[in-house]
Amino acid sequence: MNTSDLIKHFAEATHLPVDVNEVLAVLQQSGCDDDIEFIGVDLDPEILQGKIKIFYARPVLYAEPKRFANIYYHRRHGSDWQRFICCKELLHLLDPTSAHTNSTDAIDVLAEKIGLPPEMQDPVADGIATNVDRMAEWRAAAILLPLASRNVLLEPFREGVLTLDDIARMADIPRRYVGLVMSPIWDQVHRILAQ
Amino acid sequence: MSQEIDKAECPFSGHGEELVNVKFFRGRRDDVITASEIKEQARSAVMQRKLGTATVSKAAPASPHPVIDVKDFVANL
Repeated sequence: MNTSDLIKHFAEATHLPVDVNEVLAVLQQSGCDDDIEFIGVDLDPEILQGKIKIFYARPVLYAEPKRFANIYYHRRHGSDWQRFICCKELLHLLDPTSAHTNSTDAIDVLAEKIGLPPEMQDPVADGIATNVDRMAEWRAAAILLPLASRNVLLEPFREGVLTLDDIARMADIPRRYVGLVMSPIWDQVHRILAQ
Repeated sequence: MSQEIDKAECPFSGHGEELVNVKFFRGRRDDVITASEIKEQARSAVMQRKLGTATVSKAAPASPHPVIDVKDFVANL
């Protein structure tokens, strides 16, 4: 399974909120047997809101190495941000090898690039690992506010019957991502994400 | 498999672990966030886990909101 399969899997969903544990279940049903932990910690959310670390370790001496995934999130956030961060990080279980960050130098570069504000980002020069990290936010938005749900909500949204805040509350995701999903370009963006 | 990184070399990997992938969720600040700031927060997160002060679960955080079918919801607006 890759992320586009996952996005397509949820595209027809019309129930909200989509539980991140549903996403986890689909991953596990598709063969993912990583040992995953969700770890709530106190972060400075102005600097870092979450992270994932995927690694192999031996559960006991001489045992076969097992793959683990530690997903950290800022636990003082509301459920909208907590869920969104965890979904975004969960999607990195499906990152292609070419997008992995697994050396000290690569982590330094990723941290430097991720720290840049949007106006200083350069998708062409920043490299695949950075772009995959940034794109994962869009992919999480596509899963937690599925296309079918968005399309049902579009008319009342355009008529002003529903606001971005209403939809954010319904989907229980941060408002900023709802704005993206409800924008006219989302059809095109979703097509690309689901390719 | 990727290269093995010793704990002394990299705060993102523990002894005997083989690092596969690390990714970050950027903070909300509008200006440049330095790599040092991000790595310090990442280090702190790992330390909170080691100190036992983190909240650890096999399940993702769930929404307290009731699940609704948006088709039914919109039909009844």
